[in-house]
Amino acid sequence: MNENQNDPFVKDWTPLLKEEKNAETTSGTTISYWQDVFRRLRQNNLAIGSIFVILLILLASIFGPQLTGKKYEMQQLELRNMPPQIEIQIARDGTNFYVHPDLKVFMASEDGWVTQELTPDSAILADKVFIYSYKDQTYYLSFSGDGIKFMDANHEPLPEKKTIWNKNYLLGTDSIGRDMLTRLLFGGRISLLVAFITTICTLLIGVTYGGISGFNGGNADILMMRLVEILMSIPSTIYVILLMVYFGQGIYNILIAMALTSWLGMAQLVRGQVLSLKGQEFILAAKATGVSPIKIIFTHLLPNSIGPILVSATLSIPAAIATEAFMSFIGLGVKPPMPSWGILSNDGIGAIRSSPYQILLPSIAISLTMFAFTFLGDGLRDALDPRLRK
Amino acid sequence: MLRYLAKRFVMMLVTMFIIITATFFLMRAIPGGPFSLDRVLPPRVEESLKEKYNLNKPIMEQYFDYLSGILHFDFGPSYVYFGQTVNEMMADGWPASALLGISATILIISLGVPMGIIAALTCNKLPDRIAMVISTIGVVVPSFVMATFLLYFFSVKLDLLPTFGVESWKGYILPSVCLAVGSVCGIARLARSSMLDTLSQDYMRTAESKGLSPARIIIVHGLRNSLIPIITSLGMTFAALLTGTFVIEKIFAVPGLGRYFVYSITNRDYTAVMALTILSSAIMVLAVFLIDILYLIIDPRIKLYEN
Repeated sequence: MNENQNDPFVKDWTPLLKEEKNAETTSGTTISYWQDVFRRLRQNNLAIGSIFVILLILLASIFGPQLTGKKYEMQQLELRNMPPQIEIQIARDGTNFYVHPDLKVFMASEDGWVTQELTPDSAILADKVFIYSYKDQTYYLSFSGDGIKFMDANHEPLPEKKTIWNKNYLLGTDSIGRDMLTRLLFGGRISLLVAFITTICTLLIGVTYGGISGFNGGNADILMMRLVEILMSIPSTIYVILLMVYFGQGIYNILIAMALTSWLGMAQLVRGQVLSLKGQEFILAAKATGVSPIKIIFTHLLPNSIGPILVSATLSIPAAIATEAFMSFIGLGVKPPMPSWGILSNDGIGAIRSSPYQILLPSIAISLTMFAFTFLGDGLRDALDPRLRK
Repeated sequence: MLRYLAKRFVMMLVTMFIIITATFFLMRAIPGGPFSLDRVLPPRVEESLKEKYNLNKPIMEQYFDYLSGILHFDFGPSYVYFGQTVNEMMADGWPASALLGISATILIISLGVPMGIIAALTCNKLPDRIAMVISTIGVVVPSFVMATFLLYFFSVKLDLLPTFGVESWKGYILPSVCLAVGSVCGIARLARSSMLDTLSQDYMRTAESKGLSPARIIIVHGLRNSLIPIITSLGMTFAALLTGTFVIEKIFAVPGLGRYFVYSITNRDYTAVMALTILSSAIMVLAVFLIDILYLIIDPRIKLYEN
């Protein structure tokens, strides 16, 4: 070693003493399978970001509806279709007005609270003008061909304009004056609740069914899987729709209908996993030592196929959110006035021209949640089985 | 071969029979008939209506009547539009739906497959990254959400296309695109991974060393060998698109089967709901059958009947 003393690489290294040479013990820390999975998952920024987004969405939809101070069914009809951002027009005497595209004029405070609607004193419909008076001042609202104009007594536009957030309703109101923010948060609660419960049911039914089918094999397996194949050949949306027609609208009913339809893929997946594990030696050993079939399924077969099951369950959450939204969208989901993201989209689509925020907000919420769960599912899949990565 | 196909055909009929039976009894089990909705009918009128539609017969007799009707492609009268048969109504709605479905499928084939192939050929380079980002967005975002975004930008912001209705060809653009977007992206991802598999095969290197032109290598040797998963997905998609999609047709007010289906559900037009369920299941089952036959044509190495 002496002749290598000057080599910068070698000089950091010294030979072990004789008593330290113990090849039999592991020197590094042992990393279990799951620690390894989490280590790989941590390296995936997209998946970690998704976890934070999901937590944020969960917290917002669990605690949010209480914090807004409004109820999702509470209406303030005179303040309907209020956008999240309002353009305040300030008159010479300092009065603030907000002119709504529906040809309504509101009083507003300087920091964005819309207070009350002004009723026009008279109207000259031939000239398409409404006449308002406030504090002895006359104002004109003209709505002729080139848009809506709000003018003071001299027929000049008000001197100052500024765009600020709607303080009363941060995300605006819907077409019957309900708070969009509360409805969006509460809708998230419903959509996520449906998604999670559906996924739990998918796991319970699919894993049990697939496990039994795969473990038993033979005629039972053929019969059980034929049934799954037949059910799968009915387009699943039609199947859910038929069940919803049968059960009627409502949150419990959509839960039942979706739980009944979503387990098919999981059953096939678990059956495949069980089939491939069944022939391995440790199952033979368990059988030879007299472990009961149920115990073999639940303590040996399923824990060994937890990876694909977990990934499939994670990915079934966005699918369930989409199905619920879709069902609510065609009017077969939860019962109004209870909001879900699908119902909000359905309510908003008609007003896409006049109040686009009403449809864009739930659409963004749905997309964000879908992305987060999909990226998390993809990340989990890569972390659980790096070989699958393409 | 023929024996296998015959067996598959019989299975197909059994599947259809089970679907028809399940649908029939499910619809009959729904409390409240089509005539007990909004308007309260005098008992005499309701009685004669039931008699007219054979609803007062024993349920098994109704069932067999319905089965024999289906064998003659007769789906019975509509319960809601008096004097119209379900067949007439389907004939009304199908052209619009089929036109949308076909134009969406053309989009899927002409955009999705090339996008996937280009992504595979430029694996991990810029075009691949771009294609994958686009396709992830397209796959994840549900079609009706995509429809609202596209509507907002093209119809509201830019005011290029109509918001709804299919009076002119312009009206078909957005619904077809919305229908296609998800599948274009799905097919692109599938084509990419399938093509990547094929590209790493030895025969691809052989083709290259034989001095074939790159286009020939990619299309004849590469594409044909990666076609199986693409065909499977494409066939199912086409079958689903043909019978109309509820949401897109509802959003864009396309007078097609899908919108009619939603309408007949809310109006409890049972015969119509049943007919549409059976029709779309039949097309789906038939598509699976045809895809199986296509496998044999595309890849002669596949021997389905040995199994």
